[in-house]
Amino acid sequence: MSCEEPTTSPTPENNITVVSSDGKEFLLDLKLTEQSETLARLISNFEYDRTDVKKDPVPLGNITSAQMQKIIEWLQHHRYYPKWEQNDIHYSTSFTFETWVEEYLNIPNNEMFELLNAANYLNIPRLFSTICRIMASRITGKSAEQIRTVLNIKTDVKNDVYTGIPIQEDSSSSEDGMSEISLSPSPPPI
Amino acid sequence: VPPPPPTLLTLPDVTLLHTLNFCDYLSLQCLRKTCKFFRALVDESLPDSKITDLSVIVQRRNVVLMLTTKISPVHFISFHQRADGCYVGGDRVEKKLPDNSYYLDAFFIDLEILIRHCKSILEKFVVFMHDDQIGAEFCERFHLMMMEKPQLKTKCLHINGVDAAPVLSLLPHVDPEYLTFMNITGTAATPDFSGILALDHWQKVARVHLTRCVIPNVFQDIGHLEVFKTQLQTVMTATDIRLLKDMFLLPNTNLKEVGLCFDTRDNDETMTAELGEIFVIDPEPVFVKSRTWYFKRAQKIVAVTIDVRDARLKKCDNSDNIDYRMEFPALTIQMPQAEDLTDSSTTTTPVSLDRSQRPPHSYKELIIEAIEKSPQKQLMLKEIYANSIRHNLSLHDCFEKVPLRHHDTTLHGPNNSGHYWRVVNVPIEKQNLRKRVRKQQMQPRLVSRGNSSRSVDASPSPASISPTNPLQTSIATQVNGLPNLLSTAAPLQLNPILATLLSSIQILAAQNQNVPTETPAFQF
Repeated sequence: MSCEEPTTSPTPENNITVVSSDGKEFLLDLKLTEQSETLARLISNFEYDRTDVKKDPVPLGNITSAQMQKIIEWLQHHRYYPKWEQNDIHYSTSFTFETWVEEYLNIPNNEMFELLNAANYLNIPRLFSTICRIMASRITGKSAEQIRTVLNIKTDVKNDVYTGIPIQEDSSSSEDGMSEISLSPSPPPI
Repeated sequence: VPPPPPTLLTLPDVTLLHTLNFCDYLSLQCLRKTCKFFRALVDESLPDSKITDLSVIVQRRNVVLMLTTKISPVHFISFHQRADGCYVGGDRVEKKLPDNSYYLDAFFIDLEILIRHCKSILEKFVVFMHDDQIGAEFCERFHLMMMEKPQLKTKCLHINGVDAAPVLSLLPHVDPEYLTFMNITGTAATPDFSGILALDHWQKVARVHLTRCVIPNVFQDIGHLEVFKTQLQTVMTATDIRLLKDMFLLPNTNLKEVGLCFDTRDNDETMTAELGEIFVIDPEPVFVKSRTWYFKRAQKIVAVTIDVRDARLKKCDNSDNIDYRMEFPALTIQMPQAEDLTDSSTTTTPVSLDRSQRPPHSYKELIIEAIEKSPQKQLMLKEIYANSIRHNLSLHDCFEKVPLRHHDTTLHGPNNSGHYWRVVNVPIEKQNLRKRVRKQQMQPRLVSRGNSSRSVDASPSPASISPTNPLQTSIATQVNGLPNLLSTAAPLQLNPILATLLSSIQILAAQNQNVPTETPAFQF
């Protein structure tokens, strides 16, 4: 785990314990939980930000310890960002990402999807939106066949619904004329 | 057993749609082709997968296709003929097609795919041709491509730069059922588009703009349209206006507006002989110099206005270019809306029967009057309010002062002083007595005709001002002696402040010395 922010050792007064699906416990600074709607609401509902309240470990049954490590890395990096906010319009729609994000999300697709589900579960809008944008950037600019390859989608279309013409596996069919003409022929490898 | 690793297909719908919302139209079209799941998802769930506007710009050796969707920026795809073949440029890349390829061939292959997959109704279909010759070739190829195919569904159709034959071969491939607006521009040769009149499109469409073309006697065939605008190639005659005016007054016409541009027209004398006296607006607004006639038949009123526009508004080289507008309807009486109260633009609004126009006295003017009439030429807010009301209360005999009674004093507290005002039953001409004494000598016809048409409200309630009378007087004065105009109007429920304001407007209007006393423009 590489964090740019030095990890302050959490003290019992300002942290909570979360438990991943495989039973591993993580001490989490309350400041870090501000990025997650799920955790922030939980803390405010149970008044865990008060020192005189007894804190139970929070079980996160949908998240493995590996995913939790990854999430905590994100939270550490964004600890000084504004609190979570639901409205997406505050987040960028561009396909250019800061270097840290590109390195952070330079992971296989299946790990990315798992991380996306975890971000959805914990409702970390900034992370959720960023992964969605990365996914969209991997779809954009490719022909149908290239998307199938990149995202490992097996085609289930044998005949075109409207013409009855079989869709050929190579992308030179007339059906792909539009895309071949207007899209980049050789996408950068992911 | 751990669950299988997630893929794009197994993501929850919310997550997936959020991801795909970042993709543009062309990417979604590619994704749509990967499998049935995405085909259904893209077709059903994503608004940006639908084209709203489809535009084609045809030039010699070059065609540009523009696709507009709701969210993505416009996509351009250009088909360019060069010496060594056809080049196709997209948003990201330019690609050379095989040798001997022809740019229109390549274009129509893609257009056919596009139109075949376009299931929604287009907002706009635009064909813009820079060249007569290539325009004719384009229309012929379009005709061949669309033969025995479903018609193109679009709400608006813009065709620019075509001769008569091409436009008549192109129009049948557009579904008339969905067409509401048709904007066709001919060529410098001003082709004859009479053939359009026989098509279904002409009957179904609601708004038509025609430029650089001629259709002889087109005014006979526009009764079903709402808006018709054209550029006249001939002199606009007073007879034309009379014909149009008669069409507006037909009971079953849809016409709301006809706009004509022209180079020359009959002079004012001929117009006056044919249409009657010009209704003069005074003071004439600075930027719009207009000649206006009003006509009435049954419940309809038509305003004919010829605007002599200020030079800076013109597009043509001819500095005497005249724009002509004929507008319908008509008379509606509207309560001033809240947002109108701060609108000072009414000061330059010509007096007219247009429903969008209000009496020509804004709150600003009324406040100016209130302040100007105060002894020190300055007033506090509550005094402005009180003063303008007091002004009117004391001005009109219809308002009567009633002392407070004992129980009223106890009701409002011991320190409360003042009076009640109530409306007394006074005949109309006496309501405006102060200002009318002078007027009656000058405009006997106006008043006498007005009197004959108005019925006196027999029992006005003290609690609410009977509003119809000042309002009727006001409007009738503005339209310069239209005595029966409001006699059938339903009584309105006005609040007292509004009624007061309206009566003051009426007085200001009556002060206008330039309002003609005759009523020649009305032809019943």
